[in-house]
Amino acid sequence: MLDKHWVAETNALLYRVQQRDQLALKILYDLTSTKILHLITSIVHDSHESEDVLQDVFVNLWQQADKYSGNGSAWGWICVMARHRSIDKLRRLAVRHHESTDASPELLEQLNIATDNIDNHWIGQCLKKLPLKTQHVILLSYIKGYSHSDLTHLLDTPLGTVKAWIRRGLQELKLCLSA
Amino acid sequence: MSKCIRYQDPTVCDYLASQYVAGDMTMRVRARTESLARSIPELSNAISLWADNFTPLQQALYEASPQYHTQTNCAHMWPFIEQRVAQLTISKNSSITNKSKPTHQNIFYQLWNTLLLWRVVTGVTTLASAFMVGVLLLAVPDPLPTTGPSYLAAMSPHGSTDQSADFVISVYAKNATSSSKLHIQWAKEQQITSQTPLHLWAENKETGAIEYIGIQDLSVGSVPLTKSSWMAIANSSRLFMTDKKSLPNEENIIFSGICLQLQQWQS
Repeated sequence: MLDKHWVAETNALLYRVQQRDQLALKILYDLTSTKILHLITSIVHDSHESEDVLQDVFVNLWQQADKYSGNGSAWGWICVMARHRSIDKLRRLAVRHHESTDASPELLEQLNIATDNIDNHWIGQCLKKLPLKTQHVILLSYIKGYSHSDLTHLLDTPLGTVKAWIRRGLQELKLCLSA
Repeated sequence: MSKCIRYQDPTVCDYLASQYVAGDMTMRVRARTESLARSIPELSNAISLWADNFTPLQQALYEASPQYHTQTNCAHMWPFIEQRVAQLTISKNSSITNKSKPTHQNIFYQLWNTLLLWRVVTGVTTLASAFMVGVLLLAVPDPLPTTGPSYLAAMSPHGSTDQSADFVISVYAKNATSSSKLHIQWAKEQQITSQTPLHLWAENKETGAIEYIGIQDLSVGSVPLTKSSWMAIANSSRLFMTDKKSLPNEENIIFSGICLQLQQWQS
């Protein structure tokens, strides 16, 4: 679980990056790069391509730090940016490492461990209240960066159904999180 | 219903934000969403909320891969990033310089060079500029030191579960030209929420004792610090702001934040 001090330090460092402090960017890199690389690799898979994306993320962070409005945590903002850069890379490469949910127990196990680990956190509790299929599509979309059409092929389910699962799942998550 | 009003609808806003954070958007739709978020605070807030809701999943996955922690070292990539950032900084600076330079091929520039009048104009302008600089130096308060701050506290409303900061307090060490300073930087989308000055306190990191720093007008960017105030902040773990000059407690603290020592950054 992220500790408060770590989150406060990340926020403070991003404020310094907004002030064009290159040393702050370096400290932010030391503090967050392995976590960001993990996020990127979950989507891009290829280690060299993932390292390229990591570089892009930090160069983007330097260029666009002033777009961080101060709403929400800096870490949340950085994760969203890293996820988007990873999905863009995947689209440019036009490669999708298709993993069948039946053929890839490792993926499911990893996702299960992840949700077990966050039992104490409300998003973990809320996710587990969703139907299993809905949990999977949300996690595959968010963690693995699967597009709706990727999910259609992976789960052999019509596009409309996949979209409905995701939409309903996110609505239920929202209700649960705000309860 | 106009486009902007439509996006202010909480349901539309929330759906768009959830798709932006966790869903599937084309680059074009994503850029449009970012542009909308800049002008619609409700959308910007919804995006931040979804982002903070989902990041624990990333953290949990990261913690679920212990072998990854030992095998991964990102240090070797930093020099490439540093180089790209330096190139960006240089090209930005040189583009500014190039814009201000007239081209030597410019015929008017060449004509101007041949005229004697330019010497007179330059002389008068230099004198006038020197006078203006003198006036400005007297009128404008000390600028912030050019080195980074020594201490920093991201201040949030006390007790808030929100992970964002309303403003940041930066504390600068004294140097040859200026005394130590405390500077307040508000987050871009935050309004100055307290018009009346607040009282600033520091919690000693060793003893937990609360020390009074002084009264602070939140709309004033930068104020000098006394030696005792500097020491109190240097030895603190947290900073508090209260509306009255009475010891901070759960009822009267308006803002609080963890005080981070940043001096090791400079090394």
